[in-house]
Amino acid sequence: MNSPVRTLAEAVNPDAALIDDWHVVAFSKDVPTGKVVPATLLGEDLILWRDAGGGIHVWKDLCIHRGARLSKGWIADDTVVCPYHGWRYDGSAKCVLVPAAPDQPPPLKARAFPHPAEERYGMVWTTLGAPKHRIPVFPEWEDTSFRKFNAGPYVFKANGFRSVENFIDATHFPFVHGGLNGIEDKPDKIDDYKVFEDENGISTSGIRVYQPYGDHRQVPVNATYFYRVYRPLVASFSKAVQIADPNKSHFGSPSDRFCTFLTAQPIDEVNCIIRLCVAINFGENLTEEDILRRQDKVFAQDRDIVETQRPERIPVDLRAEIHHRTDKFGLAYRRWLGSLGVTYGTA
Amino acid sequence: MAIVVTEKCRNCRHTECVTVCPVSCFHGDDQMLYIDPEACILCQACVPVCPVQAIYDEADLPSELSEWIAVNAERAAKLPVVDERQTPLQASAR
Repeated sequence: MNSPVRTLAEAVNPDAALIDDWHVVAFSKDVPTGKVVPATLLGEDLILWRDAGGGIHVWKDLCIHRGARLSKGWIADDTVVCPYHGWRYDGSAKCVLVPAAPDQPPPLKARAFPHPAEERYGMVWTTLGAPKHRIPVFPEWEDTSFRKFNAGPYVFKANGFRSVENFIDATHFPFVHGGLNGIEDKPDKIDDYKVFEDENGISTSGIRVYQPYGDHRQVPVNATYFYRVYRPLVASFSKAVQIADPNKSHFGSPSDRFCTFLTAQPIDEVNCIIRLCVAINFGENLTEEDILRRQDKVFAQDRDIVETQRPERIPVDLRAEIHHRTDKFGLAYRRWLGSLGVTYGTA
Repeated sequence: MAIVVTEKCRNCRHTECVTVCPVSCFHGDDQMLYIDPEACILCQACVPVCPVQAIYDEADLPSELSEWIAVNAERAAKLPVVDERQTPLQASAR
């Protein structure tokens, strides 16, 4: 007797907190009309495509007919064509053509498997479940005094939570970003700060550091970070930057801010893709290339360290690893993940 | 297992310990501090900063001080959190 065919290792079932949440799976610009784009979210393979009207679609990467991957297919007449028997699915996920029987209406059951899809901040968001939360609000997005840029994607062979925790950590700057966001031989003493929790997640009071090359202007600045984690894999900081040299401070303004909104797409428990929307309200002469060059460098430095962390899954038992007082926000993040019932991707 | 505050803390209140604790697990009355063993994450940050060596990891606790394990648990549950430096008490002047 034949054994059941198994092509995959036993699937790990992601928690409801992650299934019923919005995740970014692509930049909008990377899903042009006429292209089928593959993605993987929480172990589930997906396709993304854009119809002729500009609408975005996120479907399971599967044709119900014989289980072929739609990501190997293509777009024709504003439909997704399955590469195996040419079945065509339109923007409502309905099969509109079975080429072997072109004169018959396709079976009603012949449908693709769509997931909800939204576009926000230049990013494509989707969910595998029924989110109880809306897509987090990046306040600077609507503020016209800020220029906005998407940076990434940065592929981390690392756990998404470890990657987010790295993003909300102000004490690694002198060592991982020496010469940019800190000085290895003169690391900043981090003053005590407050951690808050509200209906929009967890956040900090200001954390002040000196940065020899703290923003894209290539001038030393005193920077104050205000961090927030909105959802397990969505975080941001708003950084107030003040030119450190008092004789040059007039080149800046007390309202100068550099903000970064970060999303981590959990491919699986130990791989993720980081995407950013950065917002800046100063340095009009800075080009997109200037901004992206620096972001690419900083996140390559982060990736190199986060990929080395073991265990790969983040420990949410607070007695695992050591939490220093200056790690208060990372500690709060782990505790919060635990309180949300997240076990997928944790140790 | 937890970290345990013992007799030598009494009438001290130097409170260096509360300024290094990452989880605000110290509770106190007007005489001394106690650690909530449920909240404590065993980081031992408080042990070396105590100026009167009143704090022990339970694993290193001298047997004559073992009663303090239960005292910490009982008292911490009833007292408010202390997570900011306090004015030291006179009796602890070094």
